[in-house]
Amino acid sequence: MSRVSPIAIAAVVAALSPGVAHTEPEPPSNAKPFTEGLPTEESKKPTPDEWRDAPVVTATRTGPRAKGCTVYRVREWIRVSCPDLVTSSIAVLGGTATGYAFWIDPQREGKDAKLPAGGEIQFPVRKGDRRVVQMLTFGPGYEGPLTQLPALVVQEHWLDDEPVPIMTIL
Amino acid sequence: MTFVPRGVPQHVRALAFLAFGLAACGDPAAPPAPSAASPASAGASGPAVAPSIPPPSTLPDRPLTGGVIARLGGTETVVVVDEDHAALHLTPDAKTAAAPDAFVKVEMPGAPAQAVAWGDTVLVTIRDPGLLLRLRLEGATLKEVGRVALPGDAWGLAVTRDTKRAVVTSAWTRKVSVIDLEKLAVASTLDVAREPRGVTLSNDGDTAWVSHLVGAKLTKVSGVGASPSAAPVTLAASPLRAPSGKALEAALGYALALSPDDSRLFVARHALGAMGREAWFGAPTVDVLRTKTGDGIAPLHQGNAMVYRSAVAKELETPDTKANLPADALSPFIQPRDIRYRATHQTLLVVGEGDNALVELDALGLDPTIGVLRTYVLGKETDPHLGGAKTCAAPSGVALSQDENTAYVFCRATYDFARVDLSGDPFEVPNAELVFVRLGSDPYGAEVATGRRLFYDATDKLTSGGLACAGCHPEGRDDGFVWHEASFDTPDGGTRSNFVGSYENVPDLAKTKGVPRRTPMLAGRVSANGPYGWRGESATIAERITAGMGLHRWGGIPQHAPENLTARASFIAAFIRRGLVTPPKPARTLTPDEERGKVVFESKEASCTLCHKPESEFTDRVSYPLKPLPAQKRFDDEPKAAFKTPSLLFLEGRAPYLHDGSAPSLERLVADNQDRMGKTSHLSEQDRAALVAYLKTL
Repeated sequence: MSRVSPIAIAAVVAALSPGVAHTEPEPPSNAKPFTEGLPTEESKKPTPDEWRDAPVVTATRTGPRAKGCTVYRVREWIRVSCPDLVTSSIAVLGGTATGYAFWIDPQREGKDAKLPAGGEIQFPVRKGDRRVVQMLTFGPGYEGPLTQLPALVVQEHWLDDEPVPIMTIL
Repeated sequence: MTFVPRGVPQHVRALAFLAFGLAACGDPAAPPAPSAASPASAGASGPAVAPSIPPPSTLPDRPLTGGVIARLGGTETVVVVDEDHAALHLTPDAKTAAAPDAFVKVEMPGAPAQAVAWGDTVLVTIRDPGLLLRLRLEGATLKEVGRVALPGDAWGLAVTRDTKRAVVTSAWTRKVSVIDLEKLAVASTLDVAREPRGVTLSNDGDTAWVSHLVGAKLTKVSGVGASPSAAPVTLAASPLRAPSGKALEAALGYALALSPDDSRLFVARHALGAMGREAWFGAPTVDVLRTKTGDGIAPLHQGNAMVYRSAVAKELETPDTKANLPADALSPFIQPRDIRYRATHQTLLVVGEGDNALVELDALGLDPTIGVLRTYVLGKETDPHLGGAKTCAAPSGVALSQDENTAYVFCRATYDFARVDLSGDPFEVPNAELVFVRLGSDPYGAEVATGRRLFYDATDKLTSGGLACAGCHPEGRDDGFVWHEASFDTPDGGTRSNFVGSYENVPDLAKTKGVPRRTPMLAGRVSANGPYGWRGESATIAERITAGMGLHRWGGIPQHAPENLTARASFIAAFIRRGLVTPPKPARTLTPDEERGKVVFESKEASCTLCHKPESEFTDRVSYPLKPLPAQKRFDDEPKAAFKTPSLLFLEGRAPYLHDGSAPSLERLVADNQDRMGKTSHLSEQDRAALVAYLKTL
């Protein structure tokens, strides 16, 4: 804790303060379930261009903690994007260990320092999956004002004998 | 995944629902069918003008799973099972019941445990003597129409959809009975592991799943309809919170529930040794079994799983930061007692005995405890002096209304019926007021009533550190678990002795695993003045309870005046001495083999009675230095080997044995004893078997 400058702490606390506007739109009302038309063949990771044009999809169940997050799908690839979430860490809690890509917006320097804002998780949805991934944020807790606290958990699985996968973001 | 019962088309279900609805709206004044037989009538008491019972529906649309609250399908008629008053409370409309006179009390021939209801029939398990009672709705009350004698401590109950078979667990006697309900006779009795409790049936009625109060394994009973057989099924507890790659043990498996399509089995219980901040006691959990393959669906935690950290997180991280463990609340509920599947929302309802709460969990994900949707705080009127709720303490059962928008709960420590509105936004607790109806007062008076509340309560910070007495001593029995008693530093300052479920719970810096301490059973074994504790270190039971308040937590007891602990301990002592119910032990004469064992036990050469004095609960309560037991890898060596002579009462039902739990059975204990305790090395094989047979009668 002592290694972090007071300025950095102040910047993070400021970033955590309420009133941060959501820049990400709510899922459009016509967003389709992520399972619709899901291919069973494996494909390569989508390119940035593909993600740019990716449609918004809905998870099987989404809780209030995922407000401000958007789910995109390209082929079997899912991207959960939470641009306003002060993301401290992203951790795999268990299950399938491959196929992930994580992104946390880096700390910006200077007067307008606003420490990590925004996190993304990318993974493929494939038969046999069991994935549990946790996004953490900062907040007051047992390790002081910058304790790592739960932000949301993505659980995705597609058991061999089930026709479609299930994905919850709670 | 679609949750529609197999083989039941949706339109048939819709028609069935409509038929039930019509039945519920029929003429409530219609005279009941005459009783065909009444071997013994259950006594009834209630208001002068009895509330009318709606006409019954016919067969259930799903197998029935018993509980302390049972609703008659197609109606809001509810039966509340009140074990301590040996009674049922019957109300014709639980949705409107708001006062005690809305309930009729029906006395039972012994302490009832669970009930199911359909048509005009109510089935109830009775613990002691072990019975299954068949009751029929007659007017505003219930009349017994038949009974089946069962192994003692009959507890859990499930009935097939065609109502031809029932499956009953007998907790203390470790049996599962399959009952032919047409003949009202036992079709089969199976031996199973310790403390079978909850039971639920598949839609085809051929498979029963049984949870246990002790251990992580379940029991699968196959062939319920024809020739039943039982087999254990492994289901690791709280895998995402396990130490890396380790399968955890469990306790408190009171209840389980199947998804409507039978594909998933949800088991509410407590994971021992689970990881988390200050998780000395482990973590409550709902573990999910995939019934088709027989494996858990949640993956095991791997310590080296991928973590991606922001630059700030990297700088701030301490050895205590565990980013790849679930960071959500360690205890979304405490001491689960019942679980129900809410099909309309694909969620689970769990009642927590320790935190007096009803929680709604997501049933779709791999780990339901990560997806807490709503928490209803049921415990009200917190005692300002002693802590704990004075209304709706220790909820022990939940049932859903026909439309699944209302939950009915019974709170066993204060005898309150509660009605909970579940309607509205699935992520928000409705603003509707909770309704409570007190159905009785404590049968043992105010002192025991207070002790009873405290015994089950995990919310009072002085009495416990997040798990109540009942968390390790369920119903005053034991969790069959060997805890680690370890000394280590905690942030509140100082080095203290605390209990932890696994050595991985101890901070790495402490470099200790703790010494093994098996949970002792309390019921029927705490009448002596003292001393108490494995080493006899507490002079009285109250002192032992106070010591326990310090041991069973993380760190030290919050700032307090000593008399606050003493007062709590005296109430808890009153309850565990007078309020706990001992396991059934029918009086009978000893068999010749048991008589032979008694002679061995009392012989001068074996010397058992020198320390295990029959006249004082089979103990002299003195500590003796004994030859140390072999060291166990997961524990530290004992600093000294003197242990107080333990009581031998209720020995048979509480394996494993010895302070370190190293003897899995009495047979093993006697075989391996040599001359460590008394002298047994000279005994023949027959004499050893006879000694074990006698010990099992104590």
